[in-house]
Amino acid sequence: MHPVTPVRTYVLIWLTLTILTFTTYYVAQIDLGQLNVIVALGIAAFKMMLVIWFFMHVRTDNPLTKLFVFAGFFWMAILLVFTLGDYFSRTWMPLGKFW
Amino acid sequence: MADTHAVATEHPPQLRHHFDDMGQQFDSATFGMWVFLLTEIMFFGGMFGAYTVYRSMYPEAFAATSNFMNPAFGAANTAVLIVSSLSMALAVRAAHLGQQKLLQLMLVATMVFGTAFLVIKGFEYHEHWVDMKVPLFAGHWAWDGPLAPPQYAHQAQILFCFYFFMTGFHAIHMLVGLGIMTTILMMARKGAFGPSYYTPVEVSGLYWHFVDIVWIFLFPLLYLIGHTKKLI
Amino acid sequence: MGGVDTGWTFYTPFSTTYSNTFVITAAVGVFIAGFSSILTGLNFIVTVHKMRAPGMTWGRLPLFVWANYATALIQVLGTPVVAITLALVGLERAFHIGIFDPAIGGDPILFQHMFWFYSHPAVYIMILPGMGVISELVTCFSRKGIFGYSFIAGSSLGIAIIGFLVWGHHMFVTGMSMYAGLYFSFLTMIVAVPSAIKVFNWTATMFRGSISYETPMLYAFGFIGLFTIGGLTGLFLGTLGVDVHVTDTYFVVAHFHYVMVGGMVVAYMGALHFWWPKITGKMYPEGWGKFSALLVFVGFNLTFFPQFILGYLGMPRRYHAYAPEFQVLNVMSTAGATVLGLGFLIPLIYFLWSLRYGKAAGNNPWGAKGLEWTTQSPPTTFNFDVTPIVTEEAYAYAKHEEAHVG
Repeated sequence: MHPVTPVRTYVLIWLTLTILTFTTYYVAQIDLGQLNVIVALGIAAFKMMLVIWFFMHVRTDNPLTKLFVFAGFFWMAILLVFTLGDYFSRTWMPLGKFW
Repeated sequence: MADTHAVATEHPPQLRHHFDDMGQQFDSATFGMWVFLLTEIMFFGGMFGAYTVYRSMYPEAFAATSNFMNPAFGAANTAVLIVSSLSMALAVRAAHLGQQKLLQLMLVATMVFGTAFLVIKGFEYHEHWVDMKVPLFAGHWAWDGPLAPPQYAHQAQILFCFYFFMTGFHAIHMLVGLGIMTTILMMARKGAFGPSYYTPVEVSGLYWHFVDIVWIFLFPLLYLIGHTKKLI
Repeated sequence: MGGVDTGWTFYTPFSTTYSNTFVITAAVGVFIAGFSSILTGLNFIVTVHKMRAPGMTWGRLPLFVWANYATALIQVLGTPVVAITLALVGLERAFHIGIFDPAIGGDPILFQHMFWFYSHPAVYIMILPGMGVISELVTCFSRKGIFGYSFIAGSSLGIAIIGFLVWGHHMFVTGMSMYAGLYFSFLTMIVAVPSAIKVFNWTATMFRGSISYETPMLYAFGFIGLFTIGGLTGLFLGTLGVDVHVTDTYFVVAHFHYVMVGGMVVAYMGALHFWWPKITGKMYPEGWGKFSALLVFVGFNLTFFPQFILGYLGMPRRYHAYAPEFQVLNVMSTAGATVLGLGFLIPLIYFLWSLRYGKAAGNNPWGAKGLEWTTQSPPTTFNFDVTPIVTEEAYAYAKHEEAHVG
């Protein structure tokens, strides 16, 4: 069973999450071009890590749980990367041109 | 197994017979819930993947659809879910410490915030319904007006479909979560939980936080990115 | 009600827009069955991690358990993707929208990516338990510890992981990018390696073993040979250039029947004969067992080897008729199927017979190592009356006095 997390920690994390939500909302109103995607998803990823690490107790969990959490995201990445790899490489020059 | 014939005092009533002790039971239950959440990551991940493919294929159409999204709704929903995650974490903590009244209060709070999320979602869906932006029903999809370039009609329909499917599946998971919370609350009121046994609360908490995480990603993906690029 | 005419692959837009059969019903059925797969996988993973008997370290797990653990991982990671894919197909059909319909901007290839992301690992779900069985059979009937335990255990995990990286080899001719074809083809070559590792290790296990030829061992021999053929022809199909010629022909049909029937079904028959005494407490008639194994082997090869030739000569799959020049080989194949069918029918009869008239088996008719053989046949309600404590390595068969060489 887990050690008990203090209430203070939970409230601090909640505050951080809320501030990050406002931040991402307002940054999205500014046009940063390609950076918008990175910032928005980056903030989301960070918020997700906070929830996983603190609210879901992964911080005090054994390495096995941490491995499985990582594996879940890694597997989703496999699906995304290989599928998008197909789509993005369709417009590349056909190999014939090199010969 | 010898354990099944052990003396009653060595055998807490909540210890299922196929486990050796409460620690193993707790570990197995939480690990099992994590494996289930793994499957949920792949389930939503598949949808996120398909959505990402279409978004990268049709960036202009996507920019056009973002004209019809209301990020204020999305932000409000995000804030509500984050508070519900706090109350859920506090509920689990209260169960662990045997603080029965606080546990029940936090569970109710979580359910209130969860319901608030669904109500806000309801308002948002209603707005789309009125604006004729629901591609699922013939009478409520229309891609016209100054914000809707006609050459993107089909792609916009696909992207709006994904919006409704992604938020819809998420909302279904929220409803299931509310059902689970109701059960946990009823068990808590009967005094089922304490420092030696609060596994169902912990495990339900993991599920609830996961549903929150899905929304944490849905929010920027559906409401924020591309929102500045309006196609007028 | 009625059938579905989309094929098990549900390719779009036929399944979503043009088919007039009960696609949604079928998709819902698959979705629900998928949950059984996910929950079983979840169950096995947690059990293996958290609920092993005292002394049962990871390094002492029977290889059958390793195989089922790897299978469980695949089930948990892959099935949800096909679930969401079929959910989208059902929604598309129900609401008449066009996610995968090219006429309105959808992409049928996207469906195939999502579908095959699960459906390729699915075939590893199908074969891995069979491979685990072979490890059990080969050790018992060679009276020898497994050669390369950690390699076989590791290769099960290897198949599970690499198996998720190769799905595009079902899509080489669909219009997918050639570069994607390149990396999928390369990874397909890689995924063959762990399977080969197993075959080499089983063979090395048998070397200088004390081999006996009971029915389960006959099936194990059959598996090793037939799965090797099936696996190697998979590499033919994974080669981009060759695949253009043989895809959608009977070559593919022959390949997957060699791995599925020559592999998995044969392993299943071996397992059935091996564990029948444990499950029922009765022995099956050994003579009939051997005879049926022979029928299966002969019938199987007669059925499916001609199909390699047919496919290479160009006979397409999924056609209701074939060109006259393919007749001889097709007739041969059908004849083989009859023999194969007999090979399956006879065990059905003698297994049922054995329930009533079979010899009592006792706890361990094979003299095998493994915890299941220490308990009753059939086992009691909780399998073991007292939780066993594991003190020895897996497959700890007594070593023979070997003739001194050199």
